[in-house]
Amino acid sequence: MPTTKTGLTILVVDDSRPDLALMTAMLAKMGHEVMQSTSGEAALDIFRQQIPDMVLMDVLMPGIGGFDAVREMRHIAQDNWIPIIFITALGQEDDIVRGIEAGGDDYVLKPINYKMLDAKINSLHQHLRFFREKEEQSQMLRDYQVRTEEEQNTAQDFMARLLALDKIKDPLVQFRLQPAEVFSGDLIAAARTPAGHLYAMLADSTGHGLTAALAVMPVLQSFHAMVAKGYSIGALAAEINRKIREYLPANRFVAAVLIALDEKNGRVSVWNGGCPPAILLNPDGMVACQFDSRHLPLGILNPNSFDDEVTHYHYGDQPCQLLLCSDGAVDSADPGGMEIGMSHLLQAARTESLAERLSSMVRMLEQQLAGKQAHDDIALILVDCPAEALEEMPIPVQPELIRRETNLMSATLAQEQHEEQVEWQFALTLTAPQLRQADIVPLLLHVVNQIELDGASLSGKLFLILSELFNNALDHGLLKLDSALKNDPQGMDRYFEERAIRLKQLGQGEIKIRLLKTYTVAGLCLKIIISDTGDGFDFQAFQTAALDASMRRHGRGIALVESLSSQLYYADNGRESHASIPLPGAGQ
Amino acid sequence: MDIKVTTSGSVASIYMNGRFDFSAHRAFKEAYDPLLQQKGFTSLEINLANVAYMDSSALGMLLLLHERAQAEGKTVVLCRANSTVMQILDIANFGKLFTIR
Repeated sequence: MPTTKTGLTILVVDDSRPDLALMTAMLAKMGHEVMQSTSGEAALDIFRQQIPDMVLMDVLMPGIGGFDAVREMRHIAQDNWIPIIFITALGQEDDIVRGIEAGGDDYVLKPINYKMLDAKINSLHQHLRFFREKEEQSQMLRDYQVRTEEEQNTAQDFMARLLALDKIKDPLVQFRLQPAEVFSGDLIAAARTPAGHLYAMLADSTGHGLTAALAVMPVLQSFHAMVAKGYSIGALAAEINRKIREYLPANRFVAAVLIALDEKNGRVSVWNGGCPPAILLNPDGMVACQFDSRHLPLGILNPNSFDDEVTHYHYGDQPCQLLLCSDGAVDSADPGGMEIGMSHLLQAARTESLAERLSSMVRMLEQQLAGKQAHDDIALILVDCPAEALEEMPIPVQPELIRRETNLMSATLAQEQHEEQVEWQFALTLTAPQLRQADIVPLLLHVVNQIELDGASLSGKLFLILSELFNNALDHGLLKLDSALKNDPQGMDRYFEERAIRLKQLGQGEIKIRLLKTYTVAGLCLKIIISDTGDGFDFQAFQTAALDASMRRHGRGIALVESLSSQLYYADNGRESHASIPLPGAGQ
Repeated sequence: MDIKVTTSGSVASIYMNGRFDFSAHRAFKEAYDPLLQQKGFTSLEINLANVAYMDSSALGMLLLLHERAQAEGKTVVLCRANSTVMQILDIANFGKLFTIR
């Protein structure tokens, strides 16, 4: 190896010993190290053992001649280039051509002009250095490529497992995800809340490829964690927004559309930040409702100014389908713009039966792309919104757009009748004397803890729900206290003072409490029904206040109950409240 | 409810226990009122470790405290809530107003 500046290891082959001795002396003087050989055979032996930096080869030798020896050397060295100079007697110029054909790089004539030989060696040495540098670099490139591919494979495998697309097995959800590169910056997720509501999300992070795919990872984790806890999609959006701001650089954000389907009540809810409109298709494939993006994509606003407003829609007694699509899908349908792209997609969806809509859209996209690679990730989700459950729902179902998340709805006897298989229940009726004295909520909690094995794990939630509903019945139903009192700073004290006074004076009135553990269509649950003999309130006009750390001091209780229970509704003009807590354990 | 109060440097800690609802209203107020008056404390720490239950009136009381503390230039920290209580604080987005740890 030419590690020093000029010194090369040169194999010199010549059957003439005097010539060999002279050349050796001259090359040593030039600073090279010489390996001598007097025959082709011996030269090949040396060459096999230690490949020199350069070879000087006599053409005419007994045994293996110079040409054959060089051919063999080229074969031995394979891709490694060893400069070879032929030594040719004057007058045998034909040999020069043959020598070059045999693999020689240059030639010198005998008798040797050493000045010229030195120049030639130096020139070839220069070439050799370039060659070796290039070799080293391409080897590095090859190594790099292999490593990158390996890493990419691992990452792809890892991402695939994280995305867990194969785990999206909800019978109502169909989807298609087609990355523009190895990794997808589009993400699809679907899961059920403890109350059985179906949540789905389509997220599309800036750009595509690995960085985009990494950006959607925190989104996925938050989605699953929050769905499992039963948070609303507005709360999900807020949390994911916070997470993205925390984890990603400022120039990265994630457009997302989140939907919740409440099959039982025939309602879809949508939060759309920066995605193409979510489209609710009726059985004819026409647009029943369009949910445009009303928000900034996730990861832009700071948590305090984030808007978690959700749009709700009652889709009526017809089975519908909700279509979510990414930018890439719309763009591939028609690069001419959002509107025309959407209309192409919807047209493809319209021509087929409900079951065929997704594949029809996918076919259309494939035709549009005509075998070309899409330049953005394509994602489509189609969620079936079945109507069967609606037959049991006697509330007037009108396609009206309501705003603000609220589960308050009229209660019905029909709903009650669907409750079968009561495991246990008890009812308690309290009149003024007990209401004046007893501490009711802990008493109820104690009873539940005694009869319900899992009572302890439940009691935090149960306390809150009982406490809110009972206190509402007592404070507002019987004591007729006005919550607005609590709005000024001294109000809270006055409220509690007033409460104590009125409670002491309470002469009549009744609160009924019924608790039951029961199997319903939604599974095992604990139902709490509390009624009072007060005046009731206009629950239909009641709008749940934003559940927020705003400075309002009332209205928060009911919002809390809504968050912690699977269902909350009022009956009897607001005199009766019903709440359910889903319980772990199989239904029947 | 008997509420324990400890002070250490500029931090005053209020230890709530049992059931944090309207029944704790008076005791809670009596616990924090004198602390708000004293200049020495810059931070009020509400220790929720022994609170088993909490309802919305407790949230209202905490908001009231927050408002008063702010007027006095003091901060309110909520700490060591159990998981149910934490869930209630979470759902109400109290993290936006209070330091929760």
